[in-house]
Amino acid sequence: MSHGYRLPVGGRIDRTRTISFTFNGSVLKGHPGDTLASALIANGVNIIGRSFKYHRPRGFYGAGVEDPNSMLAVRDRYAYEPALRAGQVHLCEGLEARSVTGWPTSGFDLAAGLQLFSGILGAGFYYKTFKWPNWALFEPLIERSTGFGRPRDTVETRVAHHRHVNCDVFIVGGGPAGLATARALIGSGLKVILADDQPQVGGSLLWEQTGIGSRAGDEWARVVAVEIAADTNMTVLNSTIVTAAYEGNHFTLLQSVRDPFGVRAEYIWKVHARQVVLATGMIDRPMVFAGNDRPGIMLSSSVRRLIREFAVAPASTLAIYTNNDSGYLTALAAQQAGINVVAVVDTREETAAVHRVAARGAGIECLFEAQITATSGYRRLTSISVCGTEGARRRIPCSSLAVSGGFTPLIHLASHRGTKPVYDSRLSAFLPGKLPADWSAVGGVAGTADLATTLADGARAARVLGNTVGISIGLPPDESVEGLSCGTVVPLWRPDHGSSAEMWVDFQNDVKVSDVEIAARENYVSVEHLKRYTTLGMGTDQGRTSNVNGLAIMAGSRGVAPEAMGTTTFRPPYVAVRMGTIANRRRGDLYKPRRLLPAHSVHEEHSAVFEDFGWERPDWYRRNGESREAAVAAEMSAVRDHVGVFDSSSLGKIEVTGPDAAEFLSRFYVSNMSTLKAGVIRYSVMAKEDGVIFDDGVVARLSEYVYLASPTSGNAESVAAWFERWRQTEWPSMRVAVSPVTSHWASIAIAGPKARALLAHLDPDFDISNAAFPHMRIREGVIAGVEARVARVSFTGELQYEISVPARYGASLMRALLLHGEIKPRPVGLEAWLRLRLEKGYLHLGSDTNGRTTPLDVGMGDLVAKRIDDFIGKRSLALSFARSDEREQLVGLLALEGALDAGARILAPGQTRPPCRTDGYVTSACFSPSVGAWIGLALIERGFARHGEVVLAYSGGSAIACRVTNPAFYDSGNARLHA
Amino acid sequence: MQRYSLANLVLQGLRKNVGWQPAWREPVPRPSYDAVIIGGGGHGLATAYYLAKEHGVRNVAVLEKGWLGGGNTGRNTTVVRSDYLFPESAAVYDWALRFYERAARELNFNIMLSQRGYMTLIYNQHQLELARHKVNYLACNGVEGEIIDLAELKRLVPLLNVSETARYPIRGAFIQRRGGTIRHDAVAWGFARAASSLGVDIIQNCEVLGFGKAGNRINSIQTSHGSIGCDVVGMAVAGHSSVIADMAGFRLPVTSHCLQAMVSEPIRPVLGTMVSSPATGVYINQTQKGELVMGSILDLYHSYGQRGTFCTIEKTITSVVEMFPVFAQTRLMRHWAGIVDVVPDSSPILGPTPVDNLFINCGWGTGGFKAIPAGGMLLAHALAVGKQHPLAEKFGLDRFRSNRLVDEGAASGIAH
Amino acid sequence: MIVIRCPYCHEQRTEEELTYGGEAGIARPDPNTASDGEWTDYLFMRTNTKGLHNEQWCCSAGCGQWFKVTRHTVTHEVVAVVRFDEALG
Repeated sequence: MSHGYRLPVGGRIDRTRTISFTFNGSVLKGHPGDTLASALIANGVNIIGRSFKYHRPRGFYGAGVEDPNSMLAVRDRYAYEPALRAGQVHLCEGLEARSVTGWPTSGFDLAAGLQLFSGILGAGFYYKTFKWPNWALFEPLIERSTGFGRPRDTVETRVAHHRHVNCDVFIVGGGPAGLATARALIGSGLKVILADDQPQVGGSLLWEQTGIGSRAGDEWARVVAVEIAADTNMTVLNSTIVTAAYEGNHFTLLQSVRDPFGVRAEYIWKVHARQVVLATGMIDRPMVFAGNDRPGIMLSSSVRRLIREFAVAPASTLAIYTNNDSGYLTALAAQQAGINVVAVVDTREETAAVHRVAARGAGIECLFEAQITATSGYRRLTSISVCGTEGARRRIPCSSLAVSGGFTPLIHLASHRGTKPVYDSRLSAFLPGKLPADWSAVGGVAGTADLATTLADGARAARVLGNTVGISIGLPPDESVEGLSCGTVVPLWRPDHGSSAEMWVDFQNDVKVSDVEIAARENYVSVEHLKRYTTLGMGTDQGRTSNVNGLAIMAGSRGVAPEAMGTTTFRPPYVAVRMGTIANRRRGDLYKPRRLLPAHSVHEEHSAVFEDFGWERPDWYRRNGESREAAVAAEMSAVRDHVGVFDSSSLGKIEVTGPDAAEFLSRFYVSNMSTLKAGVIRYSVMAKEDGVIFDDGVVARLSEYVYLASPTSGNAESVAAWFERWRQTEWPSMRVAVSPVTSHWASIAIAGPKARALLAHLDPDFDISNAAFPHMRIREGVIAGVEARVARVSFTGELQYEISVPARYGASLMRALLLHGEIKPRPVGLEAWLRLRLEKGYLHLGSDTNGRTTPLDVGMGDLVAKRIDDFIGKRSLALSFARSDEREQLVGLLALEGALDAGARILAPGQTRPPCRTDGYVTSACFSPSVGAWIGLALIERGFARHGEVVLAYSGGSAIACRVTNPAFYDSGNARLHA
Repeated sequence: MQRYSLANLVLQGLRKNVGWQPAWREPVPRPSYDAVIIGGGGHGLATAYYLAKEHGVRNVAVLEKGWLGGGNTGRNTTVVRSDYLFPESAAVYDWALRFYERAARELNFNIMLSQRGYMTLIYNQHQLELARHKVNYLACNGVEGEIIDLAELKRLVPLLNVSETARYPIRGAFIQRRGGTIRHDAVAWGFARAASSLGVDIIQNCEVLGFGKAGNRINSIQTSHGSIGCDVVGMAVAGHSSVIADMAGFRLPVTSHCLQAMVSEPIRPVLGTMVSSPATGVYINQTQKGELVMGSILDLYHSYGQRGTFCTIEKTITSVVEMFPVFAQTRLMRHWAGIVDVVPDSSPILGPTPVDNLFINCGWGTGGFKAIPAGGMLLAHALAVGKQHPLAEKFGLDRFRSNRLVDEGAASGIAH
Repeated sequence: MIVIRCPYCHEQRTEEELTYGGEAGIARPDPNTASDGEWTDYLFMRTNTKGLHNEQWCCSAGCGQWFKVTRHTVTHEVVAVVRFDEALG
């Protein structure tokens, strides 16, 4: 058979049960224990996709994560994956898989015609053309041919969890190295976590022919797993890939929780370890030769794994191409499985091949000092052409070829931590180099290809880390170890025969040796330039099978050794992680908590339309189906003519107490808060050290030592933090305490001519007559039977009281106020509230101030001048730029025609339309029922000196004339405030 | 300079591509140069190009401690736009965008400019007013920008979650249609090739270790390749600006931070615009190869680490999935970081320094890539003429002496 | 992930539980006697060391205390942690 097939015996699959799945719509069968890759190969599937650039047919190259080719769209019962490596997907009942590259099908792809133009499509070709007339014209075409699957809007039930764990020892990898280390730690009392990416530990022991002691390698692994499970301090995480190593020995892991119908859940583990053992092993490195990308060509170790773990043969005829001894392991395994091994092509001298006797004894022909010069078979390998030392060429028919060009230790996690890999010439591979603190490396990743040494190294590593924490770890008794070794590697980075335009280095992005040569020729010679210019290693496999070959070939072109090139930096994650798993369940309301005001339910009862202003606050109340504008107008007139009720609970409340509280506060605000008398409230702003306004609000003095500061809602936390920081770090000897109490108190404001009458109905136990309780005063007492603080302070320009009660009474208070039968107050939302304050010309922080506005710019120059002692920001206000002509100053605007927009630009004098110079902008605007016109506030250069001037406010294509005025539009005498 | 064109591509292809010449020379450093530029990223290379092309100064060396374009230029999320507020900022950023629009022709190198639009989402009335102000201000500065409503937004970005059940319902967006993306490496390579062909020596793997001074002038630069003499020195080293300034004996109002970026595995084209969200702090676009590129705000502590942390990744990805629920299915492939030089007003620092013959280009913070052509032109002017270019007047280091900041905090918004 | 043990409440805190406060040791000049240049230096100029950096952190999700740290700005290794009234080495 020229395609794959299931072997009649062997493997770790469960032949007693059958699983049905579909591929590109056809129903196929496999067994529990199969991956999607092994099942597809067993069913004889050959072409599963196309490469990106040239759309060449792609088959399976590797059995697992190392495969660059088999990205398929996959759906199981729980989720849809636009693209996943077939070797990573465990077969489950009802699985649907589809090719995602190639049009109309991956079997027959029209775009493959691009290969005819490969001469001009070399590395970097798009930098040299597509400039005329415009890249944008070509872009859609290029985009259509790239990318794997497309995300689908579909219901998914896969669950994501995040888990956190600390441990003493973290072992990455459950192959022989990791198991040997773990085994030595049993009973040590150390908390150990071992993570392995397969459903069962064992790593290569599960599919290599090995013996440890009296047991077969896989049986040894099973027994050790049982022993580890018996130690309650040790945890094995199966089906768990370690995706990243972060500083401080923090790691992220991705665990797949599977049931017969798919991946039911994915867990992200965040592990913090004191010591780390890296035991991630190594993978085969491809050989580079002409025609090395045809379907049917696979990594040698993957062929062994297919045969032994999954009982799948790649084809009925197999050739081996190798520069080291491991190729022989594949030859022997295949031959035992009944596959016709037509030849082992070894590039080395005969004496270097330690397994040649065994191979020949099994009837396998071995060719030495031989190289593959070409292959044939566009849709499936049909033959290889081999050349020996004498130059004689020979064509050997075969439909599969196992290649091993050496080994690549999986050093990625160490590289995430910034360690520079070090080239080992014995293995012709990059080893981890100087590991991070508290790390050790054992086994294949450390360059050890020999099983006996690996087992001994693991036990020794355990002993060393035990010593580090003062625990004595005994070494296990020696066991005999059987297993064919992988021996020496004689690198052949670039063969002596064949056209470099037919030698592939990166199968996914279609990067050839000729492309590396172009890069060399054009001086993109550093390893990062090589990667970015040719796109070598930038695919989803992140260069696992291409990086080292690519840089070695570039090194050869430059005449330097591979170690001089270095490697590109490996970036986390090691395998791609589903974004939904990272996001966990934090969607919608779980994305960020909603903060609800104490009276939220009451607002809902009154049909509030909420906006998220940091807290969910009523923007307006939709009564009787009216429009927003109608509602806002009604709310405004309720306040002006009657009484409105507004929930101001989100406003900051900070108690500042102590003998030095007065002095403390005076250092923050522009106004001198130390002269505030008990029971009195004062409004002010505070600045940061650069003089820019940070916050505005009122401060009330409750008693000699107790002040209550009221920052804006948005700054409630940051002002408290600001106070606390200065207190701790600059003035630690001041006798003052800062207590944020914003959420302890619900505050409801009642504003309007009937506000006093409404307050009276709450039965306050203090005198609320105008004489006894004037404007800008605060009283503590009892209202409606609960403790309360009532401040007479106004944002609206009407008689206004802010009633604060403990938050648990907030809803009751709101309800009590609104349900008052006689007075019938109206609930007022934030939009109306802000327009009312605009009529009074009060500034709204963040709208009427920006990142440059100082207290001088908003008209507090006199206050600043009066302050003799220092406050934060005062020194900056003395810099000359604080008084320059260019400063934007806060003024009022009265529109003389049309509607005024917040955000309009004030055109410079003499200008009528853009583009032109401008002098400032409109910071707030609304139609004022009280004034009968559109009004606004604006920051305009030299604004204070321009009252009375007519300016043009430009917005959205038209400009309207406005008069610059004093901001006080309504009741400038403040009679209503003192009523 | 060997011309890049379709005709030449075909001709070279027929010759099996052996005729391509190096994109830049790899010269041995000379003992001294008229002008030395420290920093071989986009800004440094553009400076060299303009020195040679506009001012005829060709005895120039660019010293790069790693491989050219290997700093932020090779790590950013490739966004270009010019929607900054102040006229002086608009002049600089829009100058750069207009250069990018003709760069492929001028540099004879396809930088793959894709003007697919740059969009900032609007979530509430306050943001609508800010966006309206921006549109009006841009119009007054001669730069285009518009506000689009929810219907148009849905048409342009069908996968965006615009429902009322989203945590932050969207009301519309600001869009600058000329904004978009560029292949970032191509900018470095394009300028490098052009500069090299004009005679500029680009010296890679050459680290600056110190300065030799005579009075208040630098007369030699100590490097890992030995000492190099110089008449005038320019520095364009972004996150390392304080390091070089320290060697020259002064401090900067700069702090260096990690700015992280991440990319998904390639998927079919599904996102045709750059989308940035003030509510979630995240911005996202899709490359021509199909990868989703995502970023968020910078890490707040000082860092030269150039590597990511999972907590930032987690926050960013969570926000992306909240905005685009269907991207839950795509996979995070790689994440990395650059070092950004942040200054208090989010505006660059250009021109003279306390050292007489040292001129600086830094402080672009998270937004330097979009300004590369302008930054290069402006630093080249300072180096050639000895004083500030008019467009850079407001961006001098001396503005910090007088607290005369150009506060683009709002425009620079989310890091990009 | 930066992890620091708070010198006040003695708990291990990750960077997500802490607030960063910038360079430590910047003395506030006397506003009455400082020149404009000294004042703006205080406002804006920073050392921004590549290497060991003295900085301020706050245990904001824990005890709320500000303290000082010496941390390497490339490796992020925390080398010293002291209470705010103590001196960094």
